[in-house]
Amino acid sequence: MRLVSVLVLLISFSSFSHALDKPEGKVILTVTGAINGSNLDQSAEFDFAMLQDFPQYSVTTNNPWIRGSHTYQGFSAVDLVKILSSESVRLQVFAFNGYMTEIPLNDFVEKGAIFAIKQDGQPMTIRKLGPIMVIYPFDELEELKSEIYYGRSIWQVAEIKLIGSME
Amino acid sequence: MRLLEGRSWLLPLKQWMLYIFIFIIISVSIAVFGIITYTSDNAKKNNSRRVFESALWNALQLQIQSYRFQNYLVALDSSDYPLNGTAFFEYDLLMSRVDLLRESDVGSLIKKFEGGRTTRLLNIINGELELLSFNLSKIEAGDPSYLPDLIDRIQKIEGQMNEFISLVNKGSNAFISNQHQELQKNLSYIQLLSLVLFGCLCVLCFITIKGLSEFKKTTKSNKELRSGIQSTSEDKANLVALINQEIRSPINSILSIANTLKNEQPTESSQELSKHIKESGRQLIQTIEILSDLTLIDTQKMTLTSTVENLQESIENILAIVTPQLSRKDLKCVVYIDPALPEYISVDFVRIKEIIIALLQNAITYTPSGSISVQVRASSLSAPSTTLPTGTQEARMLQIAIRDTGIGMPSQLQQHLRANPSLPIKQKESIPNMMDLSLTLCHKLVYLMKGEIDFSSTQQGSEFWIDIPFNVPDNNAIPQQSNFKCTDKKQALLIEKDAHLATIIGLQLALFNIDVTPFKENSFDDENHHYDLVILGDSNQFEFDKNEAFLQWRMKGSPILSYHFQSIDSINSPIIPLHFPLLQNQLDPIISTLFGSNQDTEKNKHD
Repeated sequence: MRLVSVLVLLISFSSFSHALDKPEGKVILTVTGAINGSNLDQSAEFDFAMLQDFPQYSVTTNNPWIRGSHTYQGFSAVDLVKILSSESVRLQVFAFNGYMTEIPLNDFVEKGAIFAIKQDGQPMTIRKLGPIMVIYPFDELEELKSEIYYGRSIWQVAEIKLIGSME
Repeated sequence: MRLLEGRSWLLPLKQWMLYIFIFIIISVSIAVFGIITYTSDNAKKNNSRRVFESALWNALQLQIQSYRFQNYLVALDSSDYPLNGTAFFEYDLLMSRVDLLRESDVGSLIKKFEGGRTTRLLNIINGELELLSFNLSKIEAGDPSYLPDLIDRIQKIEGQMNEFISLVNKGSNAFISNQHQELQKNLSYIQLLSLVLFGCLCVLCFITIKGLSEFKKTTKSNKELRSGIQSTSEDKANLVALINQEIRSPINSILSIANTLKNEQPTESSQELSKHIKESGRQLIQTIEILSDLTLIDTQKMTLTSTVENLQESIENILAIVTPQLSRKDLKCVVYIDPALPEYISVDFVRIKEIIIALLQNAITYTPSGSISVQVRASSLSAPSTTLPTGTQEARMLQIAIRDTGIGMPSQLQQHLRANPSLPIKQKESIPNMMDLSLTLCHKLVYLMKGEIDFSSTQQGSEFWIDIPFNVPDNNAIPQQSNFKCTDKKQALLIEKDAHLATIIGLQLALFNIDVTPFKENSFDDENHHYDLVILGDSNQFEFDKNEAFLQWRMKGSPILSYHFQSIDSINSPIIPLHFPLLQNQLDPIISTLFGSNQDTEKNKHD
């Protein structure tokens, strides 16, 4: 079902595939690395509105960092890679405090991971581990409740570096 | 169930084994379930370990973030204004760490550390940091005069921050140590359960092997039983065929004699035919009795009943039963009973009779002409050790030897006779199918009486030896009898070409203190030799010189006994006739008459 919905959303996303605009609001995400589309020198910057324009996915789950079950909404790295015309299959994701983790692109297809920008319909503040947080559907797949996926669930995301297939 | 016959204790044992088997199955299930549960529990504990590590990590991250915030504030100068929310951004990063420690799973864990002291410290840190927001808003508004106070207040929190880190570290160590102990304990349980499981599996293996072995045994036993049933059915069919064969002959005989009697006028031969009918009838009854006895032996229901009887009389009575059969074939039969044996013995005479009759009938069958002897003597074997019945003083063995001068038994019959029916392996063989009924009964009876049977058979004749135990009765229970014996040794001439017959007659006469000289070619040449007695038997050589011999004996006054009817008919002489079977009680009155009352007179005449 998830793959079908991804395909449907990809079709609707075709209208979105145009030259990358300049962010009008505060930049909350910078994408670097193996990208072909950019709106800045060798990088692409996104404000909240631009990220919201990506096809949106939602995940409702518990996680070890925020008490209770919450609904998270956000975009998929698959769409990000596509808009940036990249062939990357791995992402290096950096937090504001410099913490970095590597996430395979496949996690956003097979494991249902998303870059969440909203929690329960509200934009995520820094104190709420925003503005961007990688979230997995922990409640849906038992295998996700492991240190591998907890480690990949990075919050306060500031930058994503797309790693080329040859790197 | 046949396997358990006579082993009744095995039944409850097998029942117990079944209970143990069920108990083991349950134990194995519990052990496996236990191991799975503990392993699953262990996985949960692993999750606890992750949360613990996260607590320490987040506490340290809080400290780092506070230093970063402090550094940011210290590094601010007038060119940085307006700050455009960067101060609050850094402040939020710090506060997000505080929130994480208070609200996440990590927060729940550290609440338990050091009796809640960590939580109190974290609340103090949180409170102090919340109070900074006022100064921070002033700085964000472009008023740097609040900055030194802000830095100072953050520096003052540093001590509490350090204490908090120490407490989290200490609490974390205690927590992980506790977790380690629990894991160790769980591991011990798992090891114990594994041992129990292993033990159960071993017992299970043992029971399975035992069960398989039992199954194999039962299968084998069933196979044997099936084979036994099949064999029994075949035996039954063979037995019926045998009965048919055995009784057909006397019945046919009776029928044919009855036909003859019906068609003929009453003559002298009617008497003979009547005897023949009587004999055939007796033979028929005997066949039925043998069958009955064989059945009793096979079902182990035959009991031996010993009686005290006169040995000689009993043997001679037995001989009287087969006399018609002997006469019909003109067979010469002699009986010798060793005087060394007690006159009266205690034994099952009914069975002895059956054994002797069986062997005599066998001898008659395989002897077309000639002689049959029955010798009863002491056996060289020792009697089996049994409790002596009352009225007896000693257990001994006697040997009955029955010899014939016939054609010998067929080799197949000899082979079957060598089978010992008392041996288990031979029990399965159907002896009645291999030998005739009477010999089968004889064979079985001898072993039932704890005796032994042996034989030899050649083309010159057969001999059976049977060793049977008997008991010697107390002296006071025996009526005393004395046989005649010549006071002086007498000499007798025996004219008989049958050496076997001659030997036994010699033994018989020796009982009367008479030495026997067998007839030889030159026996008449010695005219001076005196014989007290002449026994005239069958000798072709004698026919040539008989007239001269009779003349000599008459002159010397030697009494003549003869069982050779041709000689008796041809010579008009005072010959004392003898008849077969030649028994000691037939000779006894003759010898006592000849040498008893006249002994003294004759002695005087010689003088």
